[in-house]
Amino acid sequence: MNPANYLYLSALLFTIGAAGVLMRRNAIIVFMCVELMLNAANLTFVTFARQHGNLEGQIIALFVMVVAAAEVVVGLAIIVTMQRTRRSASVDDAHLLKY
Amino acid sequence: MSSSVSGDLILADADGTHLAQFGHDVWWIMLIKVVVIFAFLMVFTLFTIIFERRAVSWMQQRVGPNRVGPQGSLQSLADGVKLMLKEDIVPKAADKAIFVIAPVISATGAFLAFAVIPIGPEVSIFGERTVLQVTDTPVAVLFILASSSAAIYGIVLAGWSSGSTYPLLGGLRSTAQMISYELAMSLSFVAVFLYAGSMSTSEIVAAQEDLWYGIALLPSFVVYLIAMVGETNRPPFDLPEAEGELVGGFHTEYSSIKFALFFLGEYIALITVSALAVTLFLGGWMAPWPLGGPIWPGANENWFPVLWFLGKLLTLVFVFIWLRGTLPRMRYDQFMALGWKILIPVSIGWILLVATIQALRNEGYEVRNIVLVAAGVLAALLLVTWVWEVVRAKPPEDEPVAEAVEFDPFAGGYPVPPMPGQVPVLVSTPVSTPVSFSTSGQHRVEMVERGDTDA
Amino acid sequence: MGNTSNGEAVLFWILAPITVLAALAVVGSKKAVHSALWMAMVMVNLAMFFAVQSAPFLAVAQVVVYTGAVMILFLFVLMLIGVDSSDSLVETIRGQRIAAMLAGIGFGVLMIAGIGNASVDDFNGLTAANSAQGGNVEGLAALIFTRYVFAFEAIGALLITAALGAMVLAHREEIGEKLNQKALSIQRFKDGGIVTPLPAPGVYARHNAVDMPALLPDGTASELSVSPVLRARGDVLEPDDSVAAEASQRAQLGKGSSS
Repeated sequence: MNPANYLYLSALLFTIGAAGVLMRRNAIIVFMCVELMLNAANLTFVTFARQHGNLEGQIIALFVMVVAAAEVVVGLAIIVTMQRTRRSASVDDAHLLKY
Repeated sequence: MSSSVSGDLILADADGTHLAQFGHDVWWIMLIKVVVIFAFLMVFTLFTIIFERRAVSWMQQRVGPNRVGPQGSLQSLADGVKLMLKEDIVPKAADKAIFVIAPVISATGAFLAFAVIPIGPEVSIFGERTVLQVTDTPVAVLFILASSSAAIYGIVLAGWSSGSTYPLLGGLRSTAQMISYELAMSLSFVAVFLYAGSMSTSEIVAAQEDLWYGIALLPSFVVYLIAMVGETNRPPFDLPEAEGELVGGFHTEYSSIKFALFFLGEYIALITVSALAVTLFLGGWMAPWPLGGPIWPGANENWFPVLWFLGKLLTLVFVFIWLRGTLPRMRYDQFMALGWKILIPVSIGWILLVATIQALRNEGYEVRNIVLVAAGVLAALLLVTWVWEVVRAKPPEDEPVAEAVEFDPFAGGYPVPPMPGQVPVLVSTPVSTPVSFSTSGQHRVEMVERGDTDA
Repeated sequence: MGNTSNGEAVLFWILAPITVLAALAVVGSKKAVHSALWMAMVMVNLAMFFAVQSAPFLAVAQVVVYTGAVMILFLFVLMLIGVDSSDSLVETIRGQRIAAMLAGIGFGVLMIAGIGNASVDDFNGLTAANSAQGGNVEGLAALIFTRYVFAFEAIGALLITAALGAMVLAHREEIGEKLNQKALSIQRFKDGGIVTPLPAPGVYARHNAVDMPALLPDGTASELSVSPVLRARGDVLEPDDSVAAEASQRAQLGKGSSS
């Protein structure tokens, strides 16, 4: 099994996540695509950990997981506040700071 | 023929003596074990249902189901058949795909966890030596937590996909309760991991040879017992399923086979958390002390441990049923406060203590003396504060005696309870006016006048 | 030294297409809840990939933390707050969808070409690293608590900050004092009105739906037993049918009088 297979898979997942962030407008789905990108990065880290033969890749994957969890908490709180005040969760509608 | 996924994979770093036993089974031994565990779980569920009904009725001084089969033992089978043959209703507003999948997720997650529960030591099945456990990994207990996390999905999806309000609210409440008590459960495991030095179930059972962790780590055990009741949505923590509150909770709109799957999943979750308690805190398949050691050393070999395991499992299941028959239901905010504000801080404090003791033991200090000194200091502190409270307490003030205001309960024609300050004086006057209703309309209730009763 | 095996290849080639399809479904689902479920599937698949790559702790942590907590948080927000699942069809930026898709495809081609150009050595395997400390978990612990303890403390502080931030953002200022059960009960009695539970709708031999009122002892219909919404809409039935039938039965049986 070539490590490259896992790398291609995570590159594909990352691309799909990035395209999702650009295409979708519902804030929660955009968020989910960001999570998809983070997961793809995790897969890359674990693959390289195994390829190099040391555990540091898994350590950073663990840290990425924790950071993603913290980010989800705050991000969802922001989305909930947005939805409460302006009744819409579309990222297009949050444009008050637009020049 | 060893299994093909060896080498680099999960079991590779098995250098604990117990983990090395796994991963070398012949495929048909593995099949036998899986099928037997599955069948055992189904039969034990049927047994638990009827056992629960009989035990609760015994506590409530009535008979319980006793028609179908000897002493009603086939009642749950009859119920299962009935459920299978019922009409399968899918509400119009339901999201059909998720509505069907939700009970499957719930039941599957419940079954999965039993793959790593140790039921016995090494025995020989048809000539092959194998351990009475489907498999084991270095992170087995975490795997059980993961599978119960997966089962929670079934509940939240069932609540949402039913397309109606009571299931949604019940499902969300159920899920919030389960993830809160899952935290308390996980924290109670941490102390066990610290003592046993491993997360694999067979290692933990082996480490309890001298002293069961239910005694050595009593606070963790108590926290786990409370958390496991909350995790499985059982009384007294079953408000999300209470009929008076949320009709049926997340399974309101379910009927027939899907409802049976939820029911099955709930009972199997009950059995799984009980089995986990037995494994982590009650010594697993090891016999209780006098039997395993001096009296009968052979109690921990061959097939006998299955008996001890089943006995302990049955005891814990009875505790569940006992709680159901005895305790009233707690209010949702009350038991969420219990889970977050009491169980989790107590667990964390206890883990700090256990970690300190374990660190000191690793450094080579004599832990027993330190623990005794600390316990003595704590007891002295408690004694001093209690004495101080008693000395400081004010004597109770005399309450003013209420004057007896004469008060005729039947004055308005209807019986009325006394207001605060009024003391009902028993007067022996007869009821002055008969109770009657207006006679307009087609119905008239006739009441007989009450006079002095003399008989 | 390649110490991978056939089982891993089978697992990979079965799960990888499923993962990619699930990821496409995350992006392309109409309903947000379906997106969340496909995302959970992607995460479980990734957990299996982690397990097969000698990272058992990371695999179960992925299921417990990501699938079991983060995605459930997503589902909670979707279900409780009722975030509208459909995107509006009006595009704010014209041609954004097409441009995004093209950009995505281009980016993907770029990355895959980059990986294809790089030469990656074969797997060294983690057998040595995992058994250095007596297990994968022990190995991770040795690294976290010695070399990376500062980062570990930092993410602990990060989690606390995140929890505080969520509490601040979701906090609703209480204007009045919050009444407990006893105070609410006292208030209900002070206000007068009806303090008992309302009577249930009538149950008769031929009709027991919620639009049939119950009868008071004097034979009149009780207004409180049907919903005020139905009353306002005029959807309440008269119980005359059942009352008349009962009265005629009584007359026939000769029991009591009905005047």
